[in-house]
Amino acid sequence: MQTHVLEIDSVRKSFSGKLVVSDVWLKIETGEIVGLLGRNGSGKSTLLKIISGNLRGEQQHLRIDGKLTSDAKNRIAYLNQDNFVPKQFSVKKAMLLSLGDDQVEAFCDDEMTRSILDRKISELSTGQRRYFEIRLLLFHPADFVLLDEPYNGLSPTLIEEVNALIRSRSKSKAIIVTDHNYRNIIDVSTRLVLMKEGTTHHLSNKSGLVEKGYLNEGML
Amino acid sequence: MQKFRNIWAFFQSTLPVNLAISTGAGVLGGLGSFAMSFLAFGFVLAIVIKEANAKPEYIFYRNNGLSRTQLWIFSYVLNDATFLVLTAIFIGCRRMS
Repeated sequence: MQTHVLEIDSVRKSFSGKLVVSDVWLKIETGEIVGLLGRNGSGKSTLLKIISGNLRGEQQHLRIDGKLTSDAKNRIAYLNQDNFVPKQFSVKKAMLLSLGDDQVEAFCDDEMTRSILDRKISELSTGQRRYFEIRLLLFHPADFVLLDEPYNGLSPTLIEEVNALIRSRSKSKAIIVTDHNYRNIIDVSTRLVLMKEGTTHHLSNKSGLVEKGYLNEGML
Repeated sequence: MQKFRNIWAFFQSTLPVNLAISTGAGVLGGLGSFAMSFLAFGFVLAIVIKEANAKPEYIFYRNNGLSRTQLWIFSYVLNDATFLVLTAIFIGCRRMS
């Protein structure tokens, strides 16, 4: 299987004069699941939006497989915090617009997916909609998947299923996942990165979350 | 082909608003007003409404390889093509009657 590498550095983004992201370096390759943690306003979502091309940084260097690129929309799939699949679509239509023929069978090999296939997106519950969106991106042909708060609105059993899916799909993709549900992030990630004051801190183990002040003693 | 299907889906989502506005313009000002609205004001307003109410939808299309600007440009081309088809149908109906 081919390994793909995404690397971003020298990112700079400010809102209303306040620097939100600066001095960021992040590298991820196929097979890895990077858990991106950080407090509210630390710049996690802004960074993911910049990587996915949904937001322009004042400065940014994005390289894919070693090549500098300004727009990687064909290579990166991004899960927004808000639902993004048009609600007037049926589940089947959204699937056919997003996936290649070779992915459809594997995508449908799931009880919940089969049960909602003919329904409209607007008819789905919050959890069903979120689960569908996550599954859609994890089966998407993109090499890199960025998941911003994927666990929002999911029941504990669905979270388990999502984590299992993230692990299995990471064999052919590089995945960055961020959420305030830190236990699930720690559980599913192969590597942890902490964002603090707009900067990335690469952690060698989860105890670094306490050392860097993200978690209190006893929270791990 | 998949990109075209995405553009078509986006264009379809602009059509109800454009048709509603343009039909209203047509009722008030005649065929010329319908044409003007369908080719300009109605289409732009459909995009503005989408921008206000359904901004996250652009992420769906971006994930499928289409930027916002590409969607607007290609949808406008499809909008013009639709207008030509509607005009041809209208002229055909008038000749037959």
